[in-house]
Amino acid sequence: MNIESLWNRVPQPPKVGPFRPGAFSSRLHDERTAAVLGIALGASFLTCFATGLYSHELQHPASWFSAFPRPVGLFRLTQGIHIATGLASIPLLFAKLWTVFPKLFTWPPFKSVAQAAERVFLLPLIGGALFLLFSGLNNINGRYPYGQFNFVDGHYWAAWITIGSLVVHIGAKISTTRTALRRDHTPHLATETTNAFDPTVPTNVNPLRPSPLTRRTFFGVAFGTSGLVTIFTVGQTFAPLRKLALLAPRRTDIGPQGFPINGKAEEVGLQTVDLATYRLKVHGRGIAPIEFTYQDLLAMTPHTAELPIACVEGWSSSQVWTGVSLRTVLQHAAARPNAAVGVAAMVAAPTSQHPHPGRGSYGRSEISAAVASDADCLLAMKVNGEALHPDHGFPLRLIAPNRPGVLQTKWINEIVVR
Amino acid sequence: MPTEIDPPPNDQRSEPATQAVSTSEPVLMNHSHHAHTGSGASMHDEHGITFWIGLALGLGIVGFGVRGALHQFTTYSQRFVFAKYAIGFDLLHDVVIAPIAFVVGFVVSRLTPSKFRAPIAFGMFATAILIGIGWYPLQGSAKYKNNVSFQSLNYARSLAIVLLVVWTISGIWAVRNATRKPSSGSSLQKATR
Repeated sequence: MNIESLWNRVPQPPKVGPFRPGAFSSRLHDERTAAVLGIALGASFLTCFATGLYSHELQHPASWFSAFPRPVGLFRLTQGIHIATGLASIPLLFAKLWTVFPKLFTWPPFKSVAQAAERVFLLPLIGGALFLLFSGLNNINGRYPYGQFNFVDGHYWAAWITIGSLVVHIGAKISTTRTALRRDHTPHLATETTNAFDPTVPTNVNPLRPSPLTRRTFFGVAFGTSGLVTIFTVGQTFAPLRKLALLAPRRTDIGPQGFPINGKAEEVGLQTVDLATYRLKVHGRGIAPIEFTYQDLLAMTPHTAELPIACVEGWSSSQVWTGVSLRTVLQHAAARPNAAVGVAAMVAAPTSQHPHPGRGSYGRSEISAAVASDADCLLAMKVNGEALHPDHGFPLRLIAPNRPGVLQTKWINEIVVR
Repeated sequence: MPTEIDPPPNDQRSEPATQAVSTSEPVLMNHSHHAHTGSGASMHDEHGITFWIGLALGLGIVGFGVRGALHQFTTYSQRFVFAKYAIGFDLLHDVVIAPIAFVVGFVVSRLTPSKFRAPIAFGMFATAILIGIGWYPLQGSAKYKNNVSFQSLNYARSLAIVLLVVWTISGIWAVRNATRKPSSGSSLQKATR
């Protein structure tokens, strides 16, 4: 059975509503509009994908990947871009879907195996794109309604599926896009169809008509809204615009000691830590276990560095941290140079409020050899000249260059040499 | 922000979005006819070698993602919920959001003079998007309860300020359109911009 006989056997939809010829006659549904929005969305989604992959590798490194410490603010930049482009994509995606929505009613829905394949991939492309933006927006607002799976897994694998579908779409549309953007191109509807079996015979007489909204105005609406979204949210990572961050869940200057936190000390029962009994234990491969008191750490050569704390949720803030370099502590423990290490947070003593205390979700992290040996990889005891607030990890926290905030482990009392 | 709109001469009233082409629009008719003759070629080009390369590459990436998701989500219920979200968003858009947008657009186009449609479209679109983004901070989150640095603003006030900005822009745009002299250029020429 060939496609011609297939469509001849299928009853055609009645020519009413959206199936009526001329139902969508605005030029805003034409190929050039779709092409411009498609290019913008393609660029933003590929940027989101690349920056998201980098973030994922930092948090869940593959065997071939090793985190590097320089440039110090690279993760801050990439994750800021990830969240900002994701948010800015929301209006662009809805504008693009509005432009091509009439295609949903194209009849016949496909005329060749290739077109059928192209259209099948629209399902994961559109569904995946909407899911990525929805789940990302939920994540920065601390909402996880999925029940059966966690955000990171769902967002990560959906991103691969969506980007793969986008690659198919780009392959299918690159020629049409190039043609539509030519100066001498005459506009016609993205929905315009030809006779399924004779492309020279139009079946859908659907001419463009003038509208009060020019294409340029429509782009102004879409990109202008995108710009407003950015202006009202990007201040959560770009400090000069922090006062305009009216819709961002965080501000760079609000929180204990003037900058944000995610986890609180009370969540792990560490509101107070007795420095008299505090010990930093160092053990692992090739060294004899050793413990340092808080006074021992204060006696080591201090190191101060301005480093950003950059959360995967998109907020970031740069502060001046003082403590001791991790490599200095490792030297005191006689660890071999350039060792990778793991760090772990202390576990509070059980109380009536916390009968089964633990380290929390991010109570452990691994540090690559390159990052651990960097002078600015700090076990911080102070921020901006003040002792750390408990919510910032008193008495000791990791603050390392070019590293996601969730891996800047707080309340550290253990180092394991790998 | 573009401020140019293209009021058709003698058309201060709205017109239905599905209005048939009038005989006063011969140029566009010609364009359309032209387009039809080129449409087949365009469709043909869509599935040339770049399509098949893209399909092979994209299929590989999608396959990697599906394999990873199946490996990650091992139970039937996990896979079902994951698929439900992906497909659910397609349906939500196609069955609910887009039809509502088209109906609202149609109604607004019927009720407003053409010179005000662009600023109103901007105002309504930006309002919908910004309310969508501001909705979660407005609702709050249990995850960061008692965290002073999380959703620390008065978001009802924030949203009101944001919408005031949007509708101020929209209002200035509308006033500018209302007070501007009719353009000497052909609306049909502008149609291709």
